[in-house]
Order: sequence, then structure tokens, then C-alpha cells
Amino acid sequence: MRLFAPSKSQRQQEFETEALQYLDVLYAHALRLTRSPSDAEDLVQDTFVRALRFYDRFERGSNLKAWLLRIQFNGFVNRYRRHVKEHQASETLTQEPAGEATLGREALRSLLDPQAIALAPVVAKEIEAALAQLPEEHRAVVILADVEELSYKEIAEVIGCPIGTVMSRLHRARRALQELLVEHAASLGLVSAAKLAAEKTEAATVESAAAEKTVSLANYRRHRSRG
Amino acid sequence: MMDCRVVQKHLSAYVDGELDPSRMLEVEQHLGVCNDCELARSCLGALRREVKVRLVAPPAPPHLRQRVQRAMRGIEVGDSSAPNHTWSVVLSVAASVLLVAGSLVGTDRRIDSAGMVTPLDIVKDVVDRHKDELPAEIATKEPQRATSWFRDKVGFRVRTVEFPTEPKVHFTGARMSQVGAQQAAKLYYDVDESRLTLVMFKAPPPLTEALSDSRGLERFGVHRVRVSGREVTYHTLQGYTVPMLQDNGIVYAFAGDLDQTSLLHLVATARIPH
Repeated sequence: MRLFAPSKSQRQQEFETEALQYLDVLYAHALRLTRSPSDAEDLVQDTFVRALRFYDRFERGSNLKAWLLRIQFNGFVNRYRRHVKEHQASETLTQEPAGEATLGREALRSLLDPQAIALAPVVAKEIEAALAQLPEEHRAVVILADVEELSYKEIAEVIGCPIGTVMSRLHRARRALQELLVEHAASLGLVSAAKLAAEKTEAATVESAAAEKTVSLANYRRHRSRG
Repeated sequence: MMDCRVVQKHLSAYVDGELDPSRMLEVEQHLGVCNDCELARSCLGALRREVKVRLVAPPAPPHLRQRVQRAMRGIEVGDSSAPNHTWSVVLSVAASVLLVAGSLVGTDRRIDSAGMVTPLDIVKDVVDRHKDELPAEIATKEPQRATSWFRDKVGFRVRTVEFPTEPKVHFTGARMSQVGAQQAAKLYYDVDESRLTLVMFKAPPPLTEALSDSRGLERFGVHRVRVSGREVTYHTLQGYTVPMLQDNGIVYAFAGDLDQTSLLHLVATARIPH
């Protein structure tokens, strides 16, 4: 027994017209997430079906693209997490407190072309491979920010986390990307490993000096509060 | 003046134009006088541009549009299941197990002005607990072993839930967890290759009050449907459906990777043996 005739409602029509505009965007995003055309197609279909079901909860006037991407991202996390686990071995790469020490001058120069405006082509070629090595959470924010050009607020909505997390994840993700690219540059002989090592030691010294400073500042405050 | 380490921490947000104006200005001033940070900025900017260029994906294949349109046929907006008539009748029948989602108190975070954690917070916690996929602390196929493992750990007696024979629900393990500030027991199941998480925690007294206020429940986006002869109350969040049932002062909240129809059916036919 059906209670309603299966006619296409106005809202449904509206959804089809509005949402299907983003088919390419969603497919591209799904492809980047799943890295398999057939998985991407499944994911996109799933996204549209879910989005249609929940379309009554979509606030008119808000960003439909971001909303669809959020549904897709959730769908991806649910369905493909198992596959993602394979990549979690590389998680440690960025779990380290990256981003505290800064990349040295030599390291940065090795990434850029002589005018220091664009990435050196041999380095740029390696971006996709480097991105693939990032943990899924980090890859996702880079893609949403740089390729989909969403704002931090929109990214936070898509992946369901605070804006501060988006900010720190992006910082770490880009930092990790740069490090991977520097490694690549070093393997091509664009920068000498010895120079990089020297820079690292220098950075580490600065870091520990900074840490000492913080400690002494804490001591100073303690003394003051006693006095 | 900001020092280099602080500036470099903000550079990523700077190249995205996401810093607030005053900080943006500070960073800009620093970049004007510091070659190293300016180099780091160029590098980040170049990386950002290059990621966009390198990751240009092909357009969706032509058959995908038709496939998506076909899949959307017969699905109604706001109808979160198929076939659609199953959920359209809502009857208020008190079942021996009452399925609820309501207001809970007693946590140290996200407390609203009335000092209450909203049901949404609770639902969000349950969804997060499902998503975190933390490993089981006790991995066993026997629910009884897990329930005795929980003894003296969570402050209430953890009971197993009996599911119908079809689909096959396999218990895989359990761990300690938390919902709001409440200690919770988290049980893991596998259903047809999908993960199902059951989070149990003590229902504080206001839950009973929330129950009597149906308008309150509606306001919080709680849905009620009648499935397999039983009324099921559930919440949806981030695409997840979170049915909750209450029995003897304990809330049983479910989140899973299975589709909504299957999950609601499963919960509606679940039994808590006494």
C-alpha cells in the first residue's frame, strides 16, 4: 500500500536542478578521496540519494556545495574507513609535533624556482604523490581549502570539527607536504642533505632555547607571584 | 612585534586570507622586514596554487548523471527511508521498552544557559564514539564475557542486547567510554560487514521529564516512527541515524554504518533480556 502517489514534488525537482550542477565537483572530490573511479561513482550516487532525503533540512540560502560535500565526506568516512586504515601507517608522519620548528632557508629554496615565485616544476610534479602520503584527515582539508576553495568555516562544517582544528590541520598538512617535497628535492640533488641537516640542528637549538625561555619566564612569574 | 615562530604558525591561515584583520596586519608588517618569513610565505602561496593546478580532476563520466537520476527516482524529500510508507504512520504506543532521546545533565562541557547538555550534544558524542573506532579493550565474540568485564567499571550493570536472527549481528568486543561526563559502556558489533556501535550510559532524571514533553522533543529534531510494531525514537546528525532506547534508567544509543532502514529495524526488534 502506498500512501502517496510517486509523483515528483516541486522540492524534489528543485533539488535535482540545483544539486546536479555540482555533479562534477562531487565526482572530482570523490575521486580524490577514494582514488578509484568506480568507488567515486558509488560514493557520488550515495551522496545524491542521501542529500535528497535530507533536503528538507537544508537551509535555503546557505551553501549547497558545502552541504553536499559534507554529506559526501561523511559517506566516505563511513564506507571507506576500512580502506583508509591502510594509509594510517603514515599517520605518524604528521602526528609528530610538526609545525613548531620552521623549515629552513635552504629547504624552502629547494622547493622554489629561481624567481622564488612558483614551485620548481620537478617539485610540483611530486605534489600528488606527496598528498597521497598524508593521512586522510590532512589530505581532506588541503583538498577542501585549495581545490574546492572553501572557507575555513565551510570546511569545519564539511568535516564536522571546530574552525581551530581546520586551521591547525591545514598548517600541519601543508607543513608535512613541504617536508615530503623537500625530501624529494634532496633526492634529486636540488639541495644537499648536509645543508638540510645543518639547518635542522640549528632549528632544534633555537627550539630548545625558546623552550628554556618559556621555562625561565614561568620561573620569573612564579617568583613574582611569591614576591 | 610577532616573532618568526608565531608568524610561521599563522602563515597558512594568512595565505588563505583567514586571519582576523589585526593579526593579518601584524603578520604583514613582519613579512615586510623578515626575509625568511617572506620566503616561507612565497613557498606556501606557491604550494597552494600548485595543489589546485595539479589536482584538476576529470569531469564526471556522462553515464553518472543518468545513474544518479535513476537512483533518486522514488525517493521523497524528507523521507529518510524506502519504501516510504513504512515510516509515515506514527502511533503513540507505549512499548515495554521505551525508545527515547532526551535532555541529559551532568557534564563539564558544552553546558547551555540552563545548565543542561542538549540532546544534540549527547547524540554528537554517540556519533563521535562510533566514528573514533578505538580498539576494543576486551575483544571477544561472547557478550557475556564483556558484560562481566564491565562489572564495577561503569557504575551500572551492563546487559547484553539480543538482536533478531536476521540479519546476523556479531558481537566483536567492548571498551570503556564516555558520553557527556557520564561513564559509558561501548559495545561493538558487525552487521553484514557494517560496523554497529552501541553506547550505554545512565539516564539522568531529567530524561524522564523530557519524555513527557513531546513538543520539547520535536524542537530538538527527534523523530518517531513505527517499525515492526514498535515505536522508535531517533535523532539524525551528520548523516547518522541514532536511535536511543531506555530501559531501567539506562540509555542504549546506537550508531552504525548500516542504512537507516536496516538500523531502525534492527533496534526496533532488539530485546534487552532481564
